[in-house]
Amino acid sequence: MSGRSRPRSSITLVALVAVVALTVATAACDGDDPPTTTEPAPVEFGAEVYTMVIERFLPAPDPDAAPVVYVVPVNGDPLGLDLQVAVIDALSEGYDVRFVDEVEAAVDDGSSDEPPRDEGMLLGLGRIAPEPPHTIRVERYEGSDQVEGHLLTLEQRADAWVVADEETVTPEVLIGDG
Amino acid sequence: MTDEPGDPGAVATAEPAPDLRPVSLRGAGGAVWLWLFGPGRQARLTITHCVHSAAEACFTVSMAGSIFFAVSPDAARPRVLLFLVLALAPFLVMAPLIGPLVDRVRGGLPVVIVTTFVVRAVLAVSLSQHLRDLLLFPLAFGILVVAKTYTVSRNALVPSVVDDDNDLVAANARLSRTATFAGAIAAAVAVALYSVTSASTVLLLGAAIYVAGAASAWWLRRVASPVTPLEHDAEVELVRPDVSGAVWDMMALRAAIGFAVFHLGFSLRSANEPAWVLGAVILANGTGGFAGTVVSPWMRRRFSEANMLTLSLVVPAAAIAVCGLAFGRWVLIGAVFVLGLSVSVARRALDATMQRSAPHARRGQVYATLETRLELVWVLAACLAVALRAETWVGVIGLAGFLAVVAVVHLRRLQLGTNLRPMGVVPLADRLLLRAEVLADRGYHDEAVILARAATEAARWPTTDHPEDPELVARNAIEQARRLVDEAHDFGRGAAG
Repeated sequence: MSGRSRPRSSITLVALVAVVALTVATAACDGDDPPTTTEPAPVEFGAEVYTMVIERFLPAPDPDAAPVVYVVPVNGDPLGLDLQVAVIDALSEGYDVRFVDEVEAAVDDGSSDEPPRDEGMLLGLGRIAPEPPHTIRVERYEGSDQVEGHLLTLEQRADAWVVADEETVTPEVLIGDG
Repeated sequence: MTDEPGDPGAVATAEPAPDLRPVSLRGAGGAVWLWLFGPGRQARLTITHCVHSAAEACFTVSMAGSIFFAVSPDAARPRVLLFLVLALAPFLVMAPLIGPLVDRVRGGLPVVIVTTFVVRAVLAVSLSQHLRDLLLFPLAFGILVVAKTYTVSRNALVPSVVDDDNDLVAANARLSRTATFAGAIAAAVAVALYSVTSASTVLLLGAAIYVAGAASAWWLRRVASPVTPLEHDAEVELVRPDVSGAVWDMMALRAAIGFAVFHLGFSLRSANEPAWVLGAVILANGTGGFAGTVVSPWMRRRFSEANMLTLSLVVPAAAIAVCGLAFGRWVLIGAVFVLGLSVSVARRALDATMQRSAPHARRGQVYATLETRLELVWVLAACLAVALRAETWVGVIGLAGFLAVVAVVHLRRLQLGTNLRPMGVVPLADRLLLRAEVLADRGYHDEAVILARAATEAARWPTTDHPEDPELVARNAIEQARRLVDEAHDFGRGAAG
């Protein structure tokens, strides 16, 4: 049959695809805009630095019964997916590291002292400041009455990043009873 | 011409249908075998689909041991979204091309199905080595896309293995029912295996089952009829209001499932719900689908297909709305069960509608294109669920609202006036025939007879007859007809007096 027009359902479907593609593109662009500042290029810290920071607050590794370690972002700036996967891989021998978005996802609120789930521990992890001084906030939570905050300062010595200074600070995200 | 599996000529040889029942089951157990696998040619497809279902269960269980459950959901969202968008591409391409492509492939749909099993086996073996790194995402979504391709091909193949055209609904219901059994058994085995070994081992088991599926699908070439080319009659049938309406309703429900899977999946992950809750939600969807196959025959005896579709939209809309207002684990599991049941019932209603009203459209390319469209909206809705990042209750209420709106549109469409909208793509004679059928369905038999006769007249009209002012021509024709009718009435009254 000649001169056959495209069925209306196909046109509607194409329009639907276009709308979804626009929505997806908009969502994908959210928060990905590059910074507009003219400051020197910031330092990009790799997974090995974050792994080194996390390891300072972990109990002794236990390959037979790897303790669960929940990691929640401090100040709402989580590690990217690549970093998370690399950290999990680096610590996989002795720990079961699980990144979560919200504190509530890692805390057993059915118990009186609200311990971390799965008899594990909860770490709040910030991002390392890209400009000097390279500080990072870490908060450790083992129950509503066992919360501590730390501010680490990192320095590059030879080829490795090390913790040059550590001070105790008031927890801001993982706030317990105290 | 032989009927051996290696014989290319066997591709087009649909008869005789081999009896696949084991010799020991041709007595009392034969009825059970028939209930589970169907007669003759259907049995091979049912067995193949069961193998698919078992392998997919292994794949799903193995995901519990993947890195996806260790990274934060918000970090995983962009990657999931990226691969969902990539998954869209094949379906956008496939929708117009799958029919002609399948025609060109020697062996047609069965060969496509064999390929989907082989590709998934390869991907599963590869994925078993990358469950804990970033290759998880492309490999897992690769399996997802290929599984969708399998679903499209399998659904398109069903009519060609059904001996009696009126058995399409029963055949689809049987496929779904038996595959649910197989999937449940395989899932139980996979969970047990996962608890004593690892996710990689479960995935390797899945890969082995995919290989078995390829072997089973290879034999489908013996029993499947070749895909028929696109026919004009099929196109005309698809634009029938009842058929196109049922297709749109089914698309809406498929979209609802796609949205629910990803919205609830991310919500449960964000809340760090235990794995059993996620498993229970998946199980609820499966058992809902199974329950749908059980209650559908009962419903078909009491309700029309249109009313089955009405219930399939209204009931889950209400259940999901309740879930959004009183959100909790068990309420959620119940709502997902209702949604799975409704999708299953709607599928049976769509099959029944096509069985009754679209005998040409249920075969060949048109059916494949239709199935592709259903999978496309599933992926589209999944993309939306991941991109929107809505709160759990907001997404659930939105889903209920969407289904409610679709239900309202469905009910409006059922009204006769809406059903009689002009359909520009269809020739005049066919349009008149469609309207005659709609009128006959609704009891206006005398009008249907006149329209059917008018269609005969219209078929004799030259196709190049395009008046300059069609509305004026129509008004003049109506006026002229009215005068003739009035004269006829006057003559009738005079004769009676």
